[in-house]
Amino acid sequence: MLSHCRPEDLDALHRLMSAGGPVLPVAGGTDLLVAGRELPRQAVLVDLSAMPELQGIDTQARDIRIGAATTSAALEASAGLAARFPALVQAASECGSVQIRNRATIAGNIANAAAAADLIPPLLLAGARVEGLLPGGTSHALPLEDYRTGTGLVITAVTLPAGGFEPLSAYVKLGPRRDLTIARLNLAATARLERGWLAGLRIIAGAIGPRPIPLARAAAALEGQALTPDNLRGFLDALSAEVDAAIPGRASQAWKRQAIRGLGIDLLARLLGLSNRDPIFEGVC
Amino acid sequence: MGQVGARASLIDGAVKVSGRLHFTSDGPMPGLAHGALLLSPHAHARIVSLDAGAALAQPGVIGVWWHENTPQNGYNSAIWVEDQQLLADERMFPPVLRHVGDRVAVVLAETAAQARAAALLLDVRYQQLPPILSHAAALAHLGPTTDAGGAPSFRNPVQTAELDHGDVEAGLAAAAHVSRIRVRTPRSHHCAIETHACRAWPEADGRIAILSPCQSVFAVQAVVAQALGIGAERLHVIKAPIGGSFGGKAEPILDPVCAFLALQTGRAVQMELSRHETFIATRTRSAIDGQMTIALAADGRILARDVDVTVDIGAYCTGGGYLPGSMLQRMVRLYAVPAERYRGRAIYTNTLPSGAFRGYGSPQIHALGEIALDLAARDADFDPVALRLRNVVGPGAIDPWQHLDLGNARGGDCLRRGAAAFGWEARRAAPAGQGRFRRGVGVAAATHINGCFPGEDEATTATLGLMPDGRVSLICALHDLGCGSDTTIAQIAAEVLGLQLPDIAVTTADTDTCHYDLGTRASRMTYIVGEAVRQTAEALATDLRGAAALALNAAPDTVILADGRAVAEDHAIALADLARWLTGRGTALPQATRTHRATANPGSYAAHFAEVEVDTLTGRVQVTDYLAVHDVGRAINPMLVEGQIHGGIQIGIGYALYEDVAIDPRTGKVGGDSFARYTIANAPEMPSIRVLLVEEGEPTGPFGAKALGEIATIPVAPAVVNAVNHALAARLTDLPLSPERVVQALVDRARAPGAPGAP
Amino acid sequence: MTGARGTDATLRLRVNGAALDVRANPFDRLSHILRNDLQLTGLKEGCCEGECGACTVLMDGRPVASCLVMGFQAEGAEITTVEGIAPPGTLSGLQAALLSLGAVQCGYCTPGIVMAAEGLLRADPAPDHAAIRHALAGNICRCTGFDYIVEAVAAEASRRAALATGPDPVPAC
Repeated sequence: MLSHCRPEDLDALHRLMSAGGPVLPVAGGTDLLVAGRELPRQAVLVDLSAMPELQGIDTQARDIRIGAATTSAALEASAGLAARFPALVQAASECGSVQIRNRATIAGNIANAAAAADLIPPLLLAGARVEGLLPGGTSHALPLEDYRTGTGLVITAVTLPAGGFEPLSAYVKLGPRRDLTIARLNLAATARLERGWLAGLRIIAGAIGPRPIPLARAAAALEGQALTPDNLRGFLDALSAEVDAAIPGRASQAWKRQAIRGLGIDLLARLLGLSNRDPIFEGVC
Repeated sequence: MGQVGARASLIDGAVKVSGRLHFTSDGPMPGLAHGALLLSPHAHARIVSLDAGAALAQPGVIGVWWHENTPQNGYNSAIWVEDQQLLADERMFPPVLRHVGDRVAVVLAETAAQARAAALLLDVRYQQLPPILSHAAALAHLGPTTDAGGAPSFRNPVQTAELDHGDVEAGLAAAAHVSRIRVRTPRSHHCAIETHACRAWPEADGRIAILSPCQSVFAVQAVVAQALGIGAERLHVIKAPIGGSFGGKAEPILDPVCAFLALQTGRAVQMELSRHETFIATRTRSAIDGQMTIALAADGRILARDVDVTVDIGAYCTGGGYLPGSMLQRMVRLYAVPAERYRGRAIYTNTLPSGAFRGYGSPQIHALGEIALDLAARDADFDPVALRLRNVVGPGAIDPWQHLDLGNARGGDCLRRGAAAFGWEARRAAPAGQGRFRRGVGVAAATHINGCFPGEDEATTATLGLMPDGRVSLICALHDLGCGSDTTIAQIAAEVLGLQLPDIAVTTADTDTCHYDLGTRASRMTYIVGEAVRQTAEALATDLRGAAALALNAAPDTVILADGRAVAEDHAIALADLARWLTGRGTALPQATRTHRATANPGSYAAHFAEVEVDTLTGRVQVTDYLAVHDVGRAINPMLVEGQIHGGIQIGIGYALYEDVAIDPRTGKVGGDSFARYTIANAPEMPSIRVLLVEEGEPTGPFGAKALGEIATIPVAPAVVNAVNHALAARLTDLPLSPERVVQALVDRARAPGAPGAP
Repeated sequence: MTGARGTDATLRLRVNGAALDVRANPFDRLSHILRNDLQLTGLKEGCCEGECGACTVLMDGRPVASCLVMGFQAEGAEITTVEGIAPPGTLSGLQAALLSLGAVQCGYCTPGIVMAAEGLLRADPAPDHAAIRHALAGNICRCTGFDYIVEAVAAEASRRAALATGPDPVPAC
């Protein structure tokens, strides 16, 4: 039997979880209902969208705290988030269409764990932690990078610990279209500026493998370096090498190792608040 | 008066924009049962057994039908009259499945959800057979298309078309430049937003009524009659409002099954495909593999062309057998070429069947011809516009295949006016850039037909009559596919009769009430049906003037029809009053019926200009500016004309850059089987568009009008591809120009011996 | 278009300003329930995967793909469909602009376009053309090439700015 409930607050959710039955959390439902996918025969669908505690973005405290049922549209519109961690705002704004962003939630993006998910690379980059309730009602928190589907964890909040990310951050994606497109490649980066050079640079790439991967070699190529044509070329070569290492022999390798160079320039441009046609990038293609 | 040339809103626009128009699956109908199909998961397989037990045990299930309990009449879904000689190789539910998405069985249940759930419970055992998925395998599977007993053999070629015109060898020998180019086009899907749907129900008199969003009610009648093996007189077909077709609903797919279920069960039955099913179980634009050799003289004249085209028409013949011929017909009407050789062949493969899709072979053959001509221009160092102007046919040209007069052919005007408005010379000469983003401009010309003459008896009959309320009824086989042809036709009638659009009561096609006609196909609506209505309106106008002359006590030749009145010098009578006056005297209300039989098939012409920006790193192409110039003869409704062109450009940009049904060459499975996996150009991908109309009048068209619907999309893909090739100095000829293909071309070139930086 | 599991229940919905008790499968798509149980057939189902936008409705004033909302999730929200945009026999200014500027052809995607554009104009009264195209990225139109749709939405934004009021119904033509 399939049944549903809409807990009105965390206590109600806790009581439900304590009962120990199998629950299927649903927030926006945008992934669950895509044509052709069958709903389970037996489950309690727990709609998390009616719980005020699972909504909202708190960027005033040291750690940024985002309710699990916060929609992409809300992330996109958050001025506080844009000021502290713009990569997540940018990722949210490129997540599907407006119709999807008004429903799809941060927890849904995490729990569905698609290889091309837009929000996961910036969240991983920020060292995000996932909070939730395990079957039985136990509270549990873990780093997003340790999160796996199938544990029964019902996500209630996502936190971005202060210090997990630098003042600059950016997200870019490449799909078949400009909007409403599933990423074939996406990149998130964070860094700070020291004497005009990038420092603390970290980059994560999505849609290359089943899970996003850190691009340490590419980041190292620019760490503490001036953005000279030679250094930029080194960075782009490192990006291509990262693709070669991640998907050797795959049909998509030939294109992705090249396309990531363009996306890498887009990422740097966005990180630095420049146009990707800025003269700084001329002569490196 | 004042109707022709007016930017009139759609006569059915208010009900559309308010959501109150009932499409096929919208209207309430008590007792409606729902059918759901089970489709083949295999490209080629025999059904060994089918156990319907579990499905039949489900709540609400009325019945299950498959090849063992349905009529096994061979039929062809592309026929438009009953005795048409086309390979009848399709069955409603075949015992041997010929493509992924072929029909295995249908479940009828009280609700659509019940039917779909039960279809998943059908226990089918398949014996897989080797599929033919490549052109090479298909061309090796040779033989007559039917066996000794007349049964389809599915051997190749299905049909061929050939032309030997002039001395091609001499042309090649005399040429200053010879270029040989191979172009491959993908299968593409119509993507009408309304998926295929149909309703059928038993009528009180024992007939079956079919409500179908179709392009010809008579074609539906013919196909269903052939499939069910019953007389056409037992079928009453009503054309439903249509949520987009583009040729995709030209062939009845669901109608035979839906009518069969209604006949079998006595129930009203609805069938509606899901988006996925529409992708895998309807029709596509065929893929072609074409080669063109072009011989150019030193002055730019085309001396000869040698063309070879293989057309993959998929698992069933449908109308695909016509494609090699229709491609040839379109190919020879654009340029004056003294020597042409053409070899075209249609081949079966175990893939989705092909069918009509906006141009019926024309987008494919223009992709070949116009991309090839552009590369030939580059090889010989000619400007692409100048080269086209050097060779394009002019008014009164005769085509070398059917020997038809191409009418007031204004392709040259399209090219000249377009080049000026686009700023062609300066933009073509501007550097593409050396950095990551490169700009280029491209041009393509195109022609298309106006109706089915001389292949068919190209005739349409219309009846117009004064109604008691003073309006005029219009009865004709009207099949508006959503682009506003009902409005255009009403404008033509209103213009002649001095009426406003609300005064014309338009009756949509219905086999019980309208005169026989070929339906909406071959760009015949405005040119053929419009002219039939114009002639009929003229006849009615004569009768109205005569009647009004009596009422006004004036000479008939002094009466004019204007503003809903008949006016004779200082007297006037409103048509409503005239109708009352006539009925009051016991006189029948004037009515006219005329048949227009076309004896010409002039060409419509166009030239499209595109600017693109190519990201050389990611391979992404953005169309940044677009100009379309069309020789329409006369625009009856310029707003609808422009809208048609805009829409054609959206489909064409998709054809050039994104769209691919993408059948797996190993399994035959369809890759582009959902909107998420079949990329089309959405609003952000579309450029803003400028349209220029060349209105020089076609003497044989209504008020000088020519066809537009299909040609709107025909030059688009080559114009875009040519712009990309200009931007990159590349020779990309396999569509679509996906980011992978663009990047691969650049990488290959960088690696080529002698390239700067080559290893 | 796919079957939903579960049994019928009473859903308390607010649709076009009316509170309704609807007997329906709570796991069914909202688009199904609106079309099949409430006969609000203005919205269309073009894909049931949130890609085409034909089923767009406003949920608490924001456009959503109603094919990706389960019936029970709509409880407590204010749902507006194209039928609730203007009284019968009238068109909203946006609808009138779409019609008179040639932005309507077959009409199947049109109700979804109306709702997506209405949602945009409520959130951003003065969108530029790029913003309109971005806001309509979730609506597929296969007929118009989008140009006149964009122009009509821009024209309606200008009209509303001039009026400095909400959408006024105007008589249908």
